[in-house]
Amino acid sequence: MITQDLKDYFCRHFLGRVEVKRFSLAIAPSHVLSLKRTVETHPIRTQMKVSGSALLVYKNIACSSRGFRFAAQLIKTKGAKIRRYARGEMRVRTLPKLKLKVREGMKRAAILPQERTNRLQWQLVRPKKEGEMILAWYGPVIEEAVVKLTLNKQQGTLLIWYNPQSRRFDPKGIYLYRRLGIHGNFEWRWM
Amino acid sequence: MAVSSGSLGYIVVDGVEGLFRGASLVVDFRGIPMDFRYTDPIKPSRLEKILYGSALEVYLREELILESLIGAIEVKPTLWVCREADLLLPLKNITKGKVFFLAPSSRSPMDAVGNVENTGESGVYMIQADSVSAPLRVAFPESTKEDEIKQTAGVLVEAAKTMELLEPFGRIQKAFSSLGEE
Repeated sequence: MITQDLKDYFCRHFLGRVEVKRFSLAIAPSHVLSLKRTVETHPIRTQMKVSGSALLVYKNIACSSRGFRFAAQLIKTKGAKIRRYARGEMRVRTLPKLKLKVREGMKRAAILPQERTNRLQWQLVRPKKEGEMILAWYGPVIEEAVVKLTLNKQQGTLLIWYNPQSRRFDPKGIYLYRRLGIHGNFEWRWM
Repeated sequence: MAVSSGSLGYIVVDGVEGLFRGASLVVDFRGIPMDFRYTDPIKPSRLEKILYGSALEVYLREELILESLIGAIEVKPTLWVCREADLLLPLKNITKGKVFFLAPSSRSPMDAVGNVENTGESGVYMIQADSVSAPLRVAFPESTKEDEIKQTAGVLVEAAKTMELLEPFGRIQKAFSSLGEE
């Protein structure tokens, strides 16, 4: 007990003041934020600044005249004068008139055969012998002028090549017959 | 231009998928060619289509192709034949000759060869050119006189004795095909 009293006594005189700690019960003020929003705008386009002007040739578009120059005074540019024109001139191009070429084609025409369709349905005269049947009738054909005849089996038409030098004009018809029987063959007959 | 005795001049002007071309074939009454001309195909550009507009096709067909073909032909035929009705009048104006439009028909044959029947349409007739086919549909320009129509019918009957009247159109088409393959 004495020891404690002595300790306190000497503490007051030799070791300075008793440490006093401050304790505040005040609450720190809250941080207030505003709900109001602000919008920032930023232009997307690049800022354009015209400091001069030049006439440019726009390729493939013929839109100006040969040798024509705009007077510098007529073109208003902000803050600058026309100092030079771009190299090259705009040219007026005339749209070429539609043209076509006519070719001579007699050689081509001469080798093309004439074609006759089967006109048997219209033919009233149908001469036939016993044991044969008429398959087709082609006409008119100039027999004496014929160079070559070919039957187009797919189309059922007759292809005719004439001799262009021939002077004959006598028209005929040509029948295609088929003989009936096991060995029935085909036969052409002029009439 | 030598005038041949008894010949027909067939004119075809095609305009398929923007590609225009034409041909003329003059044949004698046997169908043997006397003169054949054809044009290079012509395909108007996009710019030309815009500039000419709706007049482009008429200009190409009637003025450019038809006039060039008629101008190039060296054998003048007795009659000009076309298969496009809209070419009839320009063909008449350019050739200053006798022209008609010819097409097949599905009508039953008329009583006699040489019969001409008015269809009721202006300038359109049915002509029985031969006894072995249906009558042909023939159209004339509006100003054509009756005499000329009868005369033309007579020429067609004469030619049909030795040739098939519509056949040269097919030959021109074959020529186009062979040119396209080259």
